[in-house]
Amino acid sequence: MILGLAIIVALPFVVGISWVLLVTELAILVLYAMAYNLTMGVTGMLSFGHGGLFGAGAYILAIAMIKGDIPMPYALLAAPILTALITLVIGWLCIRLTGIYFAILTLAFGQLIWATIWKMRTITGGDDGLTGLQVPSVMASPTNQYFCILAIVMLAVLSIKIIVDSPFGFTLKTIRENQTRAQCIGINVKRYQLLAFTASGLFTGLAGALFAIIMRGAFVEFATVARAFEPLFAGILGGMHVFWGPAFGAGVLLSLDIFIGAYTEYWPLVAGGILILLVLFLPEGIVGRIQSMRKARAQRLNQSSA
Amino acid sequence: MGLDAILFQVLTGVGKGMNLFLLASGLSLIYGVLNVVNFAHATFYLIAAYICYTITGLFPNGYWLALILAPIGAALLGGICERLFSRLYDKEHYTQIMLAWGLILVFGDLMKLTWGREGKMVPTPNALAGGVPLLGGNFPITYIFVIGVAAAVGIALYVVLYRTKVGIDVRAAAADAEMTSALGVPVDKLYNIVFMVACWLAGVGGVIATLLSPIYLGGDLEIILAAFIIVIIGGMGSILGSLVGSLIYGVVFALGILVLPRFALVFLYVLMVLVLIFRPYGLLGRPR
Repeated sequence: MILGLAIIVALPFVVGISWVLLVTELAILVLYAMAYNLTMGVTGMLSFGHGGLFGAGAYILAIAMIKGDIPMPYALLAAPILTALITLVIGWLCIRLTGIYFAILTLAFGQLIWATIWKMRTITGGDDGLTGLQVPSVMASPTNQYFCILAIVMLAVLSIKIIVDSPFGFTLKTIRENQTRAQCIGINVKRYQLLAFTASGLFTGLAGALFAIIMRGAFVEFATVARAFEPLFAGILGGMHVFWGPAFGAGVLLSLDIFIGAYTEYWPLVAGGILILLVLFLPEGIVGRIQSMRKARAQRLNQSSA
Repeated sequence: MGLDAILFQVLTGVGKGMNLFLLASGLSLIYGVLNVVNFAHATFYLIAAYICYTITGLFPNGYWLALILAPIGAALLGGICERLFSRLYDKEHYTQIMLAWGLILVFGDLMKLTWGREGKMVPTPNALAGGVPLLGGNFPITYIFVIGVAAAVGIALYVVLYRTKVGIDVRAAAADAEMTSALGVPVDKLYNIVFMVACWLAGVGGVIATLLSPIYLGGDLEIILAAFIIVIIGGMGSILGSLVGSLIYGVVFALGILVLPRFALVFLYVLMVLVLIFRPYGLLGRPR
């Protein structure tokens, strides 16, 4: 943990600017993946709407700062809160469904957000998006931006960890494991699901807002279906039932995107292939598999000593 | 707007809906029999459309040849993909969806490699050109053709499912796969065949769709949501349900465009939520 912090702090002084920008982007994607996992991995609700929420967070910040001239700290506060409100409304409608129905309805709402962004040209710039985001002077250099964003991301991830490790989080996991049983012991499943979904939406909105900051604008691509699948992909890569799984997955995904993207424009082809292999042969993710291998080894050691 | 014009719009909606019926029925079939959520179903639809484009480009009057060949191509592709899905038959739906997403990515890029980035149009065959005067407007013959083919295929599907031995086997496997297998029915092969037939249906839908709209990359993602809305409203696992759902979708969407052109889909989302509140398994669906 200390080592990780040391690396994070030391990084910009050791590597070049492009790496610093890369890690900044990675941090935001990690936040997005962890936020999504609050819904998927922790509570067991499959959602395809987070792409829309990510885009919503980005556009709220961009509209506030570019069109409304609102200073960044306020915009950065408004974006996740407003996104959380949107998530609350969407969640309230979707939560009455379960499983695949819930997933499809969230997809529908995600697409609705995307369509809204696309069609309301006057506010959102439609196809062209919003550009010209002015970053406050304290964040002007890549290194300063890096530290600011990393700090925010670390606080956010820490909050998520607190949520997951708390009794509330434990209840969510109980719901994930067996919804009916949870209901039988008196847990108000729908309420917890809605809260988890909303919290997830809050952090997703924050991730989107931060993304708009580093991209100096907001674009329709922030809210597509593909964007909705990214954190799920990261979760499957890293492992959804392990806290740091999605973070690891996001890292691998971004690395592959950059490296393979440098050689060919057909990165989706490779990504799809990897995903297919993952789902068929390694569904618990890399970190998940490492964990289960460790447990198996520990069990074997215990048995041999008994 | 005059009543005639509204009815005309409704009829075009029926046309588009019937086209989607071919896609939705296959999706419902796969879910009902194999308990698989085939998120990639519309990709077979799109691939068939592209194949149709190629065939019509190669042969004059090639459309009729495409109508025969392209769905077969889609079915064969489906047969291969079924082998991948078969490893996930008893797993969670999200794994199947992720597998499908992988397939969508792979096929999407393969389509981009083969046919390029630009949208494609298939020329209307001479036999289907023009329209019939109806309700004060000119109703395109292509739409009539679409409705006709979809209806014919739908009837054929019904006959096979409810009047043949194979159909009994399929319905039996949907109800209780283990027992059906114990009675000597090769359920594995059956699953493969059902998947292929469903993809064939999607293929027919795709070829027909080329008469109504252009072909472009990413079209599968737009359509698959429509297909799911239809299947959810109609009832997952029910073919008649997907027919009902398709008609509802087509009409509501067509009317929605008149009222709120940019957000016509919202009406369908609302309808979907309402249906699920009162009938959690769709209008004609049943719990597994």
